[in-house]
Amino acid sequence: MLETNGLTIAEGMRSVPRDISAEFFESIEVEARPRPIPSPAGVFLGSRFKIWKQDPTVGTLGCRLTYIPQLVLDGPRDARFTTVLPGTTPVVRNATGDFIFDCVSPEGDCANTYAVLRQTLTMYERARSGAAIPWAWNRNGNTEPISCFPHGFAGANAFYSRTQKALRFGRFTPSGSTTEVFTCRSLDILAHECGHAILDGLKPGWLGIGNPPQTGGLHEAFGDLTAIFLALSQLDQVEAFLAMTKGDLHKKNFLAQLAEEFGAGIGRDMGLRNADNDLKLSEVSNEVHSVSQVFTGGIYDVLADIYTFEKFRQSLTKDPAQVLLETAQHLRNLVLNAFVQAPDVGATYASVVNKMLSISHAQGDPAIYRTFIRNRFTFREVVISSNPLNAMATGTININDANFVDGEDALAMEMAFPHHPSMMATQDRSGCCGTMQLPEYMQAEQKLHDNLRRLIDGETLTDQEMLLDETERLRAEFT
Amino acid sequence: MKIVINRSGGLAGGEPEEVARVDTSGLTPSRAEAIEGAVRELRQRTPEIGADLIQYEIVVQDRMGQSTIVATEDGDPRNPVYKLLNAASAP
Repeated sequence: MLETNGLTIAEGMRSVPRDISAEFFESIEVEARPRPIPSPAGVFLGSRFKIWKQDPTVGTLGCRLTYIPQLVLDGPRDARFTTVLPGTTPVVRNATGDFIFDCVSPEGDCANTYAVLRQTLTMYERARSGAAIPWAWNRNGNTEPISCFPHGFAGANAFYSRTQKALRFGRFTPSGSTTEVFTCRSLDILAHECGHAILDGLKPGWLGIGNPPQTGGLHEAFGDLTAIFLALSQLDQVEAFLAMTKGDLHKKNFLAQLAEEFGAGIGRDMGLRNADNDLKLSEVSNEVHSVSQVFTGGIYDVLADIYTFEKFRQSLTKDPAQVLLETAQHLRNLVLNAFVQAPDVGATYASVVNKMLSISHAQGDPAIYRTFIRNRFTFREVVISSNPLNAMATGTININDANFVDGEDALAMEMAFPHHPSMMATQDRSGCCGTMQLPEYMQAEQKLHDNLRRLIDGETLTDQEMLLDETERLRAEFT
Repeated sequence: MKIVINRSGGLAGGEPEEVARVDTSGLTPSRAEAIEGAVRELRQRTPEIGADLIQYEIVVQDRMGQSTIVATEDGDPRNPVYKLLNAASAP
């Protein structure tokens, strides 16, 4: 195998960086080994990045290497993300195509920011069978990427701006401290903000004027849940989490506590927010982050319930970490599909919950999944059951019975409080709306091989040429 | 011109809080102009569309009556909202 500048080539195929001459290429020896059985030549794209697993205060996890299995150009950038840090970017990948830097350096911040944002988008695109998810401005063939500013401004905040087509991450020094907090070093904050951008691409009407606070709450909950689902898509984090909690998702843990360092920096001792909460609609304000905790908490409870059920059901066949990884993936897809199918404007918690119930039924989930959903969101005053939920009230749910139903297996529930203030007032956000279509995803593998052939022939490819095929695919999808 | 500035939003959320209250009639001419100029600039701007943006509701009382301007932080130091905040909160 020959590894050079991010392209690892099996025997018989070679690649060079865009600015290395053919003469240099000819000087590289490729070991020729006899093979009794021919195997297909492999093309292994991708780069390694050093990233924060959670954030600098979660010391038990720290930093680690991660692998982004696609072409990443100096920046780091690709067809969807551009990293911007004046004086630092473009960060140049090393001879093996990797972005490995000190985690507390500007270059490390760029690498960490890109890698986590890229993983977040990839997670949701995989959940949609590989279809590219557009940014809100990717209409009519527009393929413009989102700009990501790891050191976006001075201040204790991070935000998504459709206007700027950007994600900006702030930095600040908490009062009484001499240590600066960089929000771009938090996986939770990176994933949360990227979640906003992804959801704005899927449901652009949700940021529009006239939406009730619950719609804004769904946006914020999606961000927080994205952070949880991203962590639970990474097996090392899942194992660390299980080792910490012994599988009890309601024990204090780094997963439910969001943005620990940022939260501590603004004086909160359980992270920025805690997904493992018991808040009901009557206990929160109309502020979108406040009301979001009800939905986030309900989904977190459902995650814990389904995991408890599946852990028992699969105890003899699977490791608990694998069960949790798969459970989170299943619930993530259910939540994502429910969000996508919810109304284009004015979506409510009840509308998303009802979509979850109908999708769950249609895809053949065990009935107890829907029992968990109904019970948790009834408890939180989101929906109301037409039948008494006696098992929930008496604590007699048979967690080991896949067919257990408390009352009836209802797929549409009434909103508990249609006149609740979170449904009546308008959220203070401006915006616009649009529609989108997502054609099937298509790999341009042949073009990749063509490019590699050009490199082998001594040609030089510019960054634009290297991204051309991906850009063309996106342009075709973003019609 | 009397101005009240309320802050809300951001990643951390939180209820709106008053961050400045000022009457330019009692200020030096240069500081009054800095505030009134920033208000004029903000009237020409459209708030950002996005999420977790820190937002300011600026209630202005002047000879034309009372009006409210909504402004957002955008990370750009040239944003007049920062000029307004600096001028309005100066000692």
